[in-house]
Order: sequence, then C-alpha cells, then structure tokens
Amino acid sequence: MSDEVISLNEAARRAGVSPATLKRWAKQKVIPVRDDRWTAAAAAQARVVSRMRERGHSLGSLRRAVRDGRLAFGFVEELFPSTRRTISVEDAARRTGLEPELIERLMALLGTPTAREGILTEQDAAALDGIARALAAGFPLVALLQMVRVYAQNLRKVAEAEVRLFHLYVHEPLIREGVDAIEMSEEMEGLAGDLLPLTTPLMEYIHTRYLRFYIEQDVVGHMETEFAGDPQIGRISMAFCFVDLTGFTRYTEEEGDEEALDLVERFVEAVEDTLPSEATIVKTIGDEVMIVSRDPVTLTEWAVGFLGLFGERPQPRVGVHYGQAVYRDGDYFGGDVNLAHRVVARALGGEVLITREVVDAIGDSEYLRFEPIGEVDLKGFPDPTELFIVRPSTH
Amino acid sequence: MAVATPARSSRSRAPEAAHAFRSADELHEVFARLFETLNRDDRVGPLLQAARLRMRIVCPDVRGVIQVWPGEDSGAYLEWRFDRRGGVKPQLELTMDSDVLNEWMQGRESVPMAIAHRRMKCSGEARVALLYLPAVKLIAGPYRRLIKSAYAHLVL
Repeated sequence: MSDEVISLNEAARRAGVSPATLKRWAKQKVIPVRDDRWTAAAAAQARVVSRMRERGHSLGSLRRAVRDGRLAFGFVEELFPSTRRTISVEDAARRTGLEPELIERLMALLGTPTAREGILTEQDAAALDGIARALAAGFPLVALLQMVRVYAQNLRKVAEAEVRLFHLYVHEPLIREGVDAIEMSEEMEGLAGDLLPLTTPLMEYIHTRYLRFYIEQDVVGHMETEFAGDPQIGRISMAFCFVDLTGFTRYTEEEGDEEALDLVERFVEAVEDTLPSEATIVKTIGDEVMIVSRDPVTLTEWAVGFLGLFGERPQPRVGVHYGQAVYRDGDYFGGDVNLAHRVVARALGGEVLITREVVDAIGDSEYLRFEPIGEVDLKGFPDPTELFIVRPSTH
Repeated sequence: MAVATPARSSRSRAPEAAHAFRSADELHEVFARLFETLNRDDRVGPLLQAARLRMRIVCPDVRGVIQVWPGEDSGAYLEWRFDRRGGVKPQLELTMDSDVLNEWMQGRESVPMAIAHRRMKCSGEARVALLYLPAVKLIAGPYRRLIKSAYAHLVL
C-alpha cells in the first residue's frame, strides 16, 4: 500500500499536520517524496517525523536520520489496520455490557494508554467484545483478568522481539550498506509485508500445540495428583527447579558478551531439548532457568544426567525443592518457589542440591543417592533447611 | 508440609531391547547410508560440518563403533569409519547399547535421562556435548526416513 498515490491534502490528513508543513518537510528531505508524488508511505513517515518533532528532535537531526535510513520503519506502519476511528469508554461499555471501570482495568492490563484519555479504537472495542463474550460464557473474571495479563505480557515480548530482530538483522545491514532511504523503506516494507501475515498463523499453531499438550496433561490426571489433598484453588504441588551457570559473570568478562550469550543460548536450548516430557520451563532470566515438574523423580534424574554433560567452567548447578505454590499469571509464586531459588544459590558448580521434601518424594531410587550435608540457614527462611547433594547411584 | 507424592515415572525399558540393531554389520550399514544421505543434503550437511562434530559412538551389545568427523579436504560434509583405528581424535565418546542409540537418533531418548539411568556413558570433552546435542537433532529426520524405508524393525 505504500506506493499508493494520494493527494497532498490526504497525506496531510493522515500525517496529522498541515499541507504546508508537509511540503516544508518534503523540501527539507525529512520525508521521501519524489516528483511531487505523495504516497501513503510518505504520509506514514510524516507521522513518525511529527512524533519525533513533538519529542524535541530538530529537522536537521531528522534529515540526517532519514538520510541514514533510520526512519525507514515508518513505512511499516501502513501494514497495520487503521486506528483512526475511535469510541469513548462509555460507548464501549454500552456496546459490550462491561462496566467502564472494568474496561479501564482491562485496557491498563493490555498496556493501551488510550484508555487513560477515555478514548478507544475500533480494535480496542473489538477486543473488549471478545472479553465480554468470554465472561458471558461463564469464565470467572478473576481468571480472565490473569489470562489477559499473561497474553499482554507475553505478546508484548513477542512484538518487541520481532521489531528488535528485524531492526538488527534487516534494517541495520541496509543502513551499513548505504542503501538509499526510499529504496530501503520500500525493501523493508516489502519484507515486513511478506512476514507479517505469517506471524499470526505461526503463533496460532504454537498456541494450539501447547494447548493440546497442557490439556493432555490435565486430562490424564496429572493435575488430580497435584491437587490431591489440597482444597485451595490455584495452589499446585510441584517440583520447583532452578538451574544456572556458576562463574558466568567471570566467563562473560573473559570471553566477551557475544561468546557468553552464545553459551547461554546453547545452554537454555540444551535444557529445553532434554527435559523429561512432563517438565516445563517457566522462565529464563539470563543464565538462570526455572523449571517445574509434577514428577520430582524424573526431574532430579534429569538434573544429575544433565550435569554429566558438563566438565568445564562455567558449570551448571541445580537446586530442586518439592512443595506448593500459587499459580498466577502463568508463573508460580510462594515460599516453596523462593526456597528452591535459595537452594540453587547454595549449590556449587556441578552439584544438584535438593531438599528433604524431594528426597521423601523420590523414595528409594535405583539411580540416585542422596548425601546429606546437614541443615543450612537459607536467607529469608527462619528455620534451617535440610539439604542433600544428589549423585548417580553406584550400584 | 504434607504434599501428595506423584506416582513414579513409568518409563521403563523392555526386558529385551526390541528395537536394537541386529548386528554390527547392520549398524554400520545404516549409518553409512545415513552419512551418505547427509553428505548429499545441502541443508543439513553444512550445518553438521559447521558444528565440528567429532564424535565416537560405541555400542557394546553389537560390538559396533561409529566415528564421525567433519570433512576437510575431501569435499564431503562428513567423514566416518566403523572401527577405532584412524579417523580424527574424537572430542566426545558416547557408549550405549544399540537400542538406546536407535531411540536417541529418533528423538525418543534424552541424553541426560539416558546418562542418569546408566544407559549411556559420556566421556571426553563434556562441554562439546552442548554443541553436539542440537546438531544431532538435525539427523533425526533423515534417520527416521531411512529406517522407515528399509529397516522397519528399528522404527519406534
């Protein structure tokens, strides 16, 4: 759509500035206009320029940015549906049957600042329609709010990664090659236009795949075990495991950021690839991976085998605790999770350290032996915690 | 705190390795065909070569040995031989029965779990395992296609 020829007035309307301003910007080469042909792409870039001007950037600095191709992303805006039509929160409340206060809360969760101005776009309203239908179908509000938060937090990361990776691997190389600004914008828009329609089906596919996986886990009764004897909704019995790399900071200093990042990527990939099927990575924070599993036996066996793959620094270390946590927003919270985190902090490189609860849950093991190291004071826990090093069984 | 203890994982092995190779000859034949296929694969071959895969796999049950390393001057992505002589000094040696190898090659065996269950031994420069594990994943597809076409008894 970027090469769609439009009138100057239409370009000015789309950019939100006067025709005179638009002509001045074109003359000063901060928007790409050839032979007085005004295009949708030029209007999109003018919108970006307008925003940059509001943020205090001079026309000189913008001209340099355009010359270097650094504003070329403005063209990509044309790939998204228009958000110009707006409705008020009150109108959205009437349309969806949701309370205005709930709409404000939902929009805050969704990270959409327009809610603060009391204005919603048509896309916002359509999303609210979907939420209203989910509530009308009987899905509890408390769960729905968590779900919206999980969607928003994770899809924000997806969008951020898409833009950053596109910038690093497409935009920056074009800038380095010195490609002409207009040519660069067209090339980027072409590629983005090809890629964007592919993202939603891919995300749907991944979502469906994981949905099937967790439904299967639920259906086959794993969750029944987890909730056994536990009347509190939302509390789950699990093995909580943290794995990190000891000496990683020093490794980074010695080998450099890129080498260290490569190592972390390989490390996390190796964890993902080799975990027992019932274990799941909850999150990764730098070189640290948090894993949960309903089965402390296979998780601990995995940990011992996994450490057998590492002979040199930086060596991984593992802490495992078995207990209960509150499941909220796609994450696990509570004292037992914190305890597992403290346990890994006490482990040395190459060690799997576990609590008494894990030892009891495993019972007799053909493959593992547990060496008690005594009761250890862990930060934030008033009572000492009995810890064990796990080693492969020798018999 | 009293918590429910889950049932033990039931992933036990059959008393007889039903999906083992029948002999060292068969093991070597399958892997020779696999490596030849990978050498013709201009997508996977270069990736395996770039991983600098220098590995020896020993299967005591059939007395089979597989050595594989990246091709250098030969123009091939991979080179191999089926004994302990010659070749390139391996960085990683994995010892396992041939049924475990077969499961691993089909993506049905996790190396850490196999090590923990003493079905696999890992020696050499253990850190390179981190590099090789993803590389071996690339082999799973061609391997499955190969055994499906000609070695049905190995299909899991």
